[in-house]
Amino acid sequence: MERIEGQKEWGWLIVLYVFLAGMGGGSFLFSFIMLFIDRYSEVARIGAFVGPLLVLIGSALLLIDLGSAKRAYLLFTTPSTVLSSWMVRGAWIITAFIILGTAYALPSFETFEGLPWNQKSGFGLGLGVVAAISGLTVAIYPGFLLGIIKSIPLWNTSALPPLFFLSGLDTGLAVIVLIALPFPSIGVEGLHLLGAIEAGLIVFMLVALSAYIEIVRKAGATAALSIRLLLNPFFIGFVLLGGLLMPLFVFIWGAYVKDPKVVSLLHGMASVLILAGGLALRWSVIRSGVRIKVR
Amino acid sequence: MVIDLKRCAGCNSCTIACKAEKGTPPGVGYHRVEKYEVGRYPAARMGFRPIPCMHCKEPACLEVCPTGATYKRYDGLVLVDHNRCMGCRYCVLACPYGARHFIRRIENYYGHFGRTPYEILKQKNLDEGIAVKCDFCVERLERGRLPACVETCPAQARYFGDLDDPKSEVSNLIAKEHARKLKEEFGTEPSVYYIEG
Repeated sequence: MERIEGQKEWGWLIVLYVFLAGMGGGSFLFSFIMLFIDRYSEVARIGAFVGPLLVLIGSALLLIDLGSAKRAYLLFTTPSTVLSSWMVRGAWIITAFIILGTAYALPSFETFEGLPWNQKSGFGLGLGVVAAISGLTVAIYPGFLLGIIKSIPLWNTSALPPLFFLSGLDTGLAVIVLIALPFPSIGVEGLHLLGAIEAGLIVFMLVALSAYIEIVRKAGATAALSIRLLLNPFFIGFVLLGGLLMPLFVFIWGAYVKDPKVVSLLHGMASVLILAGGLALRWSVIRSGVRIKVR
Repeated sequence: MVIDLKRCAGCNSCTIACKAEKGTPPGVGYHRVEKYEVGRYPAARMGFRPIPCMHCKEPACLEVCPTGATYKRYDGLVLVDHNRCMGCRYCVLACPYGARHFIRRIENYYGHFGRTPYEILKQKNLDEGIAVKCDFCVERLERGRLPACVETCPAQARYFGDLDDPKSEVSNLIAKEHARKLKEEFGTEPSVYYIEG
């Protein structure tokens, strides 16, 4: 039988970047909403700062991955390529998000109280809205970066951007939950609320993942081979069971628990599992990308 | 370029000529010959398909290139400006023909003996950390010669000429032999045609 092999051009650093971009964009989005509706602000202000920071770390990994990082400035000095290359669009969106998101997050920290705007002022709110939109784009963009590559059917599907986006929201909220754990003010009720949203996202993720697998499976011989490569014990264990079903079960169980310590422990555990699952999902999808045969 | 698969014996002279002409380091080659099975037992035989860069009219590699390193010349050649490539490998993934290669490290063929004068000369325009590809031996074309693979082919299975000229040998061959392009569904409009064997 013919040996199936995924692409080897893009490895761990790209996987980590795609993971951090989704997670960073997602955590900023949730933080912005929480700050906007003025709930759990002490958690959200940290989340709003952590989001751009995660994306910044991801971008640094992208730079390390380049063969000639010294020429990375060309991304910003070749305007004509914005019309054709998703990588250039991504570079601009990421830069905008890091700058605007950080500018929005900083005034809520004592050291930066002197800045002429805050999260409630018109300018600050405007910054937040634009940063949230760019954060949303940062979370969804890796799906397009991979999705336009026609020679890899596992990626070249419209089902990939929504899957990565949902996973970005899922992992972003998991970051918020982890940030919330040391804050007693969030209370059991707050953790239950975040847990309920997280459980809802996991259900959406399960639907999106099933749809993705089914859509790709029917997209030709190479696509079907890619799905065979994708659905290995690592994927079943880390993505499906560990990253989705187990956290879903823990959040449902946690909803019936009233002891704050136990709820914190359960939510913390589930969030770590979600993060591991999100990373494993990116790894599996990127490394299982089988190229079409030339003949 | 037109490649007559009925004449191709799969000898890989084209691959070796390319290697010698371009001086590509170990693990990097701008040309390959794919082997496949034609027909079924007991009438099965080996088929061969030489694969250079297709120099597409709508190149997928050019579309994704974020720095403008990949460009198309006035005569349709798709070339890479090595000084603009940042080594993201997006083009390597996007090319449906596997015609792009990434040079991670430039190694020499003779280990501890170091690079030969030939390697030094041929690799003077190569750099580590960039994507490279077949350029139809542009420097030979400019001197009025044919690409090395075309000139070397002992079976004379390759033809090179102007596809825009309806009276050229390649245009006539394409019309007469119903030559086909690879992966037309990708919309890349390759400039390499195959006369199927």
